[in-house]
Amino acid sequence: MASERTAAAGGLLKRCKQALAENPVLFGGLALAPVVMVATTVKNAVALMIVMACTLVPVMLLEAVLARYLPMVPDFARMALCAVFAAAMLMPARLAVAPLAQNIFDSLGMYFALTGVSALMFLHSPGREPEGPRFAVTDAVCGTLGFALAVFLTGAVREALSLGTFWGVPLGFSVKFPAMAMPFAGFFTAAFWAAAWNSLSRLIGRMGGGREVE
Amino acid sequence: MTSFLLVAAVAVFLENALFARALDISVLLPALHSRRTIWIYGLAVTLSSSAAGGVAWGLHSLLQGGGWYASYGQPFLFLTAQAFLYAVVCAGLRAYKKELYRAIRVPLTISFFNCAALGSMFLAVYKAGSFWGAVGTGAGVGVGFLLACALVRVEEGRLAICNVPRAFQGLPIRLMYIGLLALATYGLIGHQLPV
Repeated sequence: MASERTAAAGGLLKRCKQALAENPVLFGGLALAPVVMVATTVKNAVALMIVMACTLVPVMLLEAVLARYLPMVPDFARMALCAVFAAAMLMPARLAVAPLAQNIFDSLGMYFALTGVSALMFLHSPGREPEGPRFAVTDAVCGTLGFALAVFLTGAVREALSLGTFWGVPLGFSVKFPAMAMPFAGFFTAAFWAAAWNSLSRLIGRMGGGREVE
Repeated sequence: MTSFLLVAAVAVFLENALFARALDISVLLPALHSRRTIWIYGLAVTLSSSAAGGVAWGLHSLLQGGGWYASYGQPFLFLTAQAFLYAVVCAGLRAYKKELYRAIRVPLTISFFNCAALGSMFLAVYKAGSFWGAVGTGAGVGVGFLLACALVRVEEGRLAICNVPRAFQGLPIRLMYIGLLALATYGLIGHQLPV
């Protein structure tokens, strides 16, 4: 019994490591729209993290529960139910995001809702097979952390370079690049972070003696 | 019909969903697998976005004015409507065209539940002035996606023979290329870089 628990914990840990090494945004290309378009400041990035956490974890848990305990429900009906649930979770997400700033929803625009939709893309991420609720929660938490990292890194760099601030606090830069707030700069920033993530994953893989992430 | 064509043309060229709004990016990556998948995903995105645009226009016409609608109701209703459309399409295909359903199940799901389809609903409501304009917005999003796929795929062949640094192979170099196209589109439209 104890050895089974140890094996299960080891499996979860390995799954976490793999999920974090294969960052869903920087490696898998999921949920890029909000990262590229509105992750222009750290406040926006934190808002996006909150929305993703409020939608991804409950949706993946619901999908796992439906797949395990109601297998007679067809795939498409399960997906539609998950979509409606994600839509419903946008309401508490809105309440959680509102205190960040008065004009936060003007900054985010339609990408607030699109981040919730992006959570649904995680259900169809390559190589993912629906498994039990415990693995679903692990995947969801790791996916949220991966998204949070990507969006925070992108938002921090873009705010620092375009406005010279971090969370509105001036950093004392004498030169600013307002163009960093434009969509094309979002693509470039995400590309550089993705390249950095590739290198880091390979380095960690080599140090750990494990397989390199291709 | 004129508003349909005009709005669609704007959505394809001037405000391309990928280069101007990054809407289709997560669909683009699996679609680039082959010419066949580009057409399948392109058609699926076009049809789902067009239908979604029309539905969004109808919902907005019925419900606008309510305070709850603008802040809480709109995303919920739009995504629920999208889920309903998806369920109807899948149920119909599954009942009458089982083989086709099995072949296109994954592209269909990704095409309905991605930023392009929901994004076209918001764009249809706030940019289009009529029902046909709303449908045209969705159609423009889909056709713009096809155009973007074609442009990116053409360059992939050239990138494959270049000596791309290992760290940039795969997703990073694709994002760099899409960013360059986004910058070129931004300039072609006539925008100036902010100073």
